[in-house]
Amino acid sequence: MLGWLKRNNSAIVGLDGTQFNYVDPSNPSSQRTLAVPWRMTRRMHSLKRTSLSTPPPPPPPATQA
Amino acid sequence: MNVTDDGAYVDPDPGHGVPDTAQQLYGRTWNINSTTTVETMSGFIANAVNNTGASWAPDIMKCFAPQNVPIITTLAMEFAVSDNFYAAIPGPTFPNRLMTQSATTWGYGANDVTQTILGWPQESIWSSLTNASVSWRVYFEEAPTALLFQDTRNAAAMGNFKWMSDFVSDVAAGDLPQFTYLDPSYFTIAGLINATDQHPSHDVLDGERLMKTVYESLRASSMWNSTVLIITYDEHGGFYDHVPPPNTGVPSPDGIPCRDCGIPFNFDRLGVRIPLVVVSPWVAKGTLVHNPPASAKPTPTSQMELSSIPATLHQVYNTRSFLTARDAWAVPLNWIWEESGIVTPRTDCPATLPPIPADSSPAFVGKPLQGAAPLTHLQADWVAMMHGVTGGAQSAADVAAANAQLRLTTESAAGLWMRRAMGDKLAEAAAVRAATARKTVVTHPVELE
Repeated sequence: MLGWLKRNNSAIVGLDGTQFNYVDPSNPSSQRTLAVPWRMTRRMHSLKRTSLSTPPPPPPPATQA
Repeated sequence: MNVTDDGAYVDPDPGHGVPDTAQQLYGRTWNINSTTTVETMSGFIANAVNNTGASWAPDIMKCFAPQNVPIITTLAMEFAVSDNFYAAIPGPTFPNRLMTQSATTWGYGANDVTQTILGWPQESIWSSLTNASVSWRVYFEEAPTALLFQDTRNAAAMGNFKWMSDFVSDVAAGDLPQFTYLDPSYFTIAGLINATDQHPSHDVLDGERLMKTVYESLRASSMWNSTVLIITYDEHGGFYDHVPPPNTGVPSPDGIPCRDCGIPFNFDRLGVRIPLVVVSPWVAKGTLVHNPPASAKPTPTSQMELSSIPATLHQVYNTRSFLTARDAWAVPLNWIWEESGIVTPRTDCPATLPPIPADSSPAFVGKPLQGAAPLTHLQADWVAMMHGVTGGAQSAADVAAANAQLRLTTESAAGLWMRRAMGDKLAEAAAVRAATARKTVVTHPVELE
């Protein structure tokens, strides 16, 4: 959360935008990251959250406009 | 595309268990006990791909721009911020909170459900402070983290737990103990509470609101000139950082190897950096806390990490002893305000903090489901803790059965149940304390005879 504070105080050991990860750390020719719109990923992964012993109730039926 | 500053609302929770963090540090799964292999901080994307799929991986490299989190940014710039403070272990929430409050996890590297129900048996800072006659209090919304320990699950200790809604009025009345601990809310309850824990999938702005309220209350109070507010986090949450955590000379707290890490681990290395902001009129504006002075370090290898909290309490309040070898090693934090060079409290501290950004800000599009979502793993663990506190469960199977009976299917339902159960428990504890007090009055004359 505080990584970019280096912009406010250059003495801070923080982010300057040059840091990166490869998708495959053992392969420097691999992509540095994958460009996927985050809105799409949020919808996809909202389905993966944990439920307790009983499933959530079904959504109410859609109303007609 | 490298690390970016467009951090935003995320769901789900990135991996940050011990094996996950090992991969994030080294780019591959390996024996995390080795201190001979270089930490490359190269495995964050690879771990995100493993855990949640390639499509989600870019989010792991997105960090918040300072202007999108103006409260903690302002506090960091107006007071002291550290760029050299670490989680106590490279693992998840409960182990790091156990380290914060007892300097050991008693051998657990995960949020063990059974032990969460039964409570951890080691001495915590809470009984340590009580034994030293130091007053303390925990403010909370659903349940205090302190209830992870067996030594707080009694009527006397529960007399130190108060609802967060009392905090502002208590501060205004000058009624705070020597040591206060604030738990954020961990559940969004529709129409009642927006979770303030900043944990995915909750909005970080709600956590910013909590910090703003706490700061402005303290700043306006008669206690301000004798107050130090420490803001920190329990771990990195699985998000990217580029600074390798120190791994030299870190002592195992008690020699117990990890029971449940999935890879060999002896609790002899630190986790990823986490924020530390120290707010006080005794701290100079714009202080950067990087290297503690040698006089503040118990050993040449000592570092500032979450075990610095119990170490600080031992040093400031002269508790009977350190709790484990780890808080004896960690750097106490009181040098930050005691050696700041300030001889009279500052008078230029801001009375108010900036407004919270509008929810329509692009960085925060995608609000949580307002309590309708199923429980996260962490929320399920809090519920398990409460079943243990109420005596309603002895095992994970008991918890599952009780949850089904109570229909705790959403975070809203679970949060409400947590609050009701905690309210009942506090009332029960108050009745026990009152009965004990009456007995004392009755027996006292007998003793005189």
